[in-house]
Amino acid sequence: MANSNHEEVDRLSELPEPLLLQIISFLPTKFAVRTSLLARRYRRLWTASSSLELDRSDFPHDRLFNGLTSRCLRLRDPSSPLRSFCLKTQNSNRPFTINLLSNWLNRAYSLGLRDLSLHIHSGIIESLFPLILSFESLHSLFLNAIDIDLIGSIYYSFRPLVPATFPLTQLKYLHIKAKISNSDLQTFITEQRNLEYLCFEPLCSCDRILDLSSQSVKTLKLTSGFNGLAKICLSFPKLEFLDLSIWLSAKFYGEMPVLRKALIKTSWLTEECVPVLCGILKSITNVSELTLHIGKPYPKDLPGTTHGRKQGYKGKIISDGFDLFHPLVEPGKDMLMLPNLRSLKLSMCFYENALQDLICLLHHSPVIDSLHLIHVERTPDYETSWAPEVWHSKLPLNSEGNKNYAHFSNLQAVSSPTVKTDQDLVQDYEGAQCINIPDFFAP
Amino acid sequence: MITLTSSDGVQFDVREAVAKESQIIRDMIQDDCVITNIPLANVNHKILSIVLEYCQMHVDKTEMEVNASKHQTTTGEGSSSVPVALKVSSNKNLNDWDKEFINVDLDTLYDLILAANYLNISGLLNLTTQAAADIIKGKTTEEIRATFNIKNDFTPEEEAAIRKENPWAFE
Repeated sequence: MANSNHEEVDRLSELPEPLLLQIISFLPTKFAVRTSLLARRYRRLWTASSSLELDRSDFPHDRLFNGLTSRCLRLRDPSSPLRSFCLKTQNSNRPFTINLLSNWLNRAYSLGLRDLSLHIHSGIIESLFPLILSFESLHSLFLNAIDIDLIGSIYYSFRPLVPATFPLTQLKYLHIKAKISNSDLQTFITEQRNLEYLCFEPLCSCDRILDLSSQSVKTLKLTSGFNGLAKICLSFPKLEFLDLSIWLSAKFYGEMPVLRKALIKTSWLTEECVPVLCGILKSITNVSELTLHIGKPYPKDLPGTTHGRKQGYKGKIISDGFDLFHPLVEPGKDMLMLPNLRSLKLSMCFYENALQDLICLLHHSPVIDSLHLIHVERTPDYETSWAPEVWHSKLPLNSEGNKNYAHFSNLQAVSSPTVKTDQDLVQDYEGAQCINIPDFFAP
Repeated sequence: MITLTSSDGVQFDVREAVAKESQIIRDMIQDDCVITNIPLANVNHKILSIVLEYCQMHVDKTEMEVNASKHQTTTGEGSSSVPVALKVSSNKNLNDWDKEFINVDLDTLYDLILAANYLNISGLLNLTTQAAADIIKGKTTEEIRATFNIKNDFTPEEEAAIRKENPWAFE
């Protein structure tokens, strides 16, 4: 069908109107409006787009932005439903007034709203909770408070969620980064029978416990910074994917029996944190894909040392790193089994004991097939004046002649689960040139 | 197995689950459970094979995940029921696969949009129309016209008037 004037054909404009509209609905409003100038066919098309996505920073001043948003909502033909409404503003802009926002939201809701996304100032967003949580038709809700003071929020009182019952029965997707107390959030999500995706960032508050549970959530994203939490309990019987950024100060309890994939990022690691890290691993033992990023290790001051530095005769440093803690095994306990683990991506500081723990972990992962290791160099600082070489990577040299990363794949193709030997792992190392693998994998 | 015949007469034998990714075929099968051959008048064999690749991938991926979770609750050993071709990509995210899949020329994209619409495959329709939107996004009006060969049928006065209506959108 390619003919000479093939290049001249405008097949986009030939598409049936509902399809053109669907394309335009995927555009931020700025670009949807831009299509009005393309040709007559597109002149008024954007006004029926099922989405409004307005960014305050595209406008020179408030009056213009407010006027346009109000007009878009007010003049809209109710016969073309508005499914998605997204509002963005920036720190530097003046916050919207609650009155204006309430008007916009009520109007959007009356037009058949399903997806609501607000990136607006903290304080305003919380005031709108009662209104937003009364919108029955919502399928997805994305609330992102900007200019939020994460650490200082303990000084604010959390505005309680007022409704006793929440009518949002269709909610599937919830992203919340705003000042909401952990217990209010829990009350809210237990009511959500259809919720599949939850993303939450608990703030520094009077709550010492984060206790979340859901019978329906399949994806959980939790970003728990340093917020004074003492305990995190997660009970998610349907959870398949966990994305966790965690400060290893809170105790962690998790129940997620069908978890398949986990992505975990931790704060720096001290010896006291090891049981917490092990607790996390214990609650995800069924995973088949695990990406684990462990923060820099911090050794504690050992008896008879100065900041971890053992001084020998005439002040000679004699520390060799062997008295450093094991990052993945609790003292006196066994490494846990990871019976389904097929793929592991691990980035951490591979000092001597870390490497030993990794090898132990591999021996407890019978079906592992792919292994990525990335060394995170720990730069010595004034707090821990361990000899820097303690923190050097103990990984084998890779084909590029450094020890910063290693990648092994198809481990199972060579070794059947029952007779996996160190030697098999050796042969499979990609691009191996001159590595002393037997040393590397020796238990 | 179900046989799908393209507009240019090429036959494709596919599993029922794969064909059922299409709402229109699902309805046909539901109405007439002995149906085995479905002619598709609006899709040629080139596009149909791409559409079926999409359906196959999405069905396999779902089934594989179901299997994986079954394994977890039973033994956790072996994976014989997983198609070999998929084992390779098992670690790959379906979204990544979609992204690669939709990296096609404009002509194919239009055909896919129309086919997804005709066969009523909502996932593919969203994917393709989103891809078209992504091409428009970030471009000036002139660039959009040039990319899609859209002929400007406004007079300069009309064009100026439209720009004046929403100057913020054209900056």
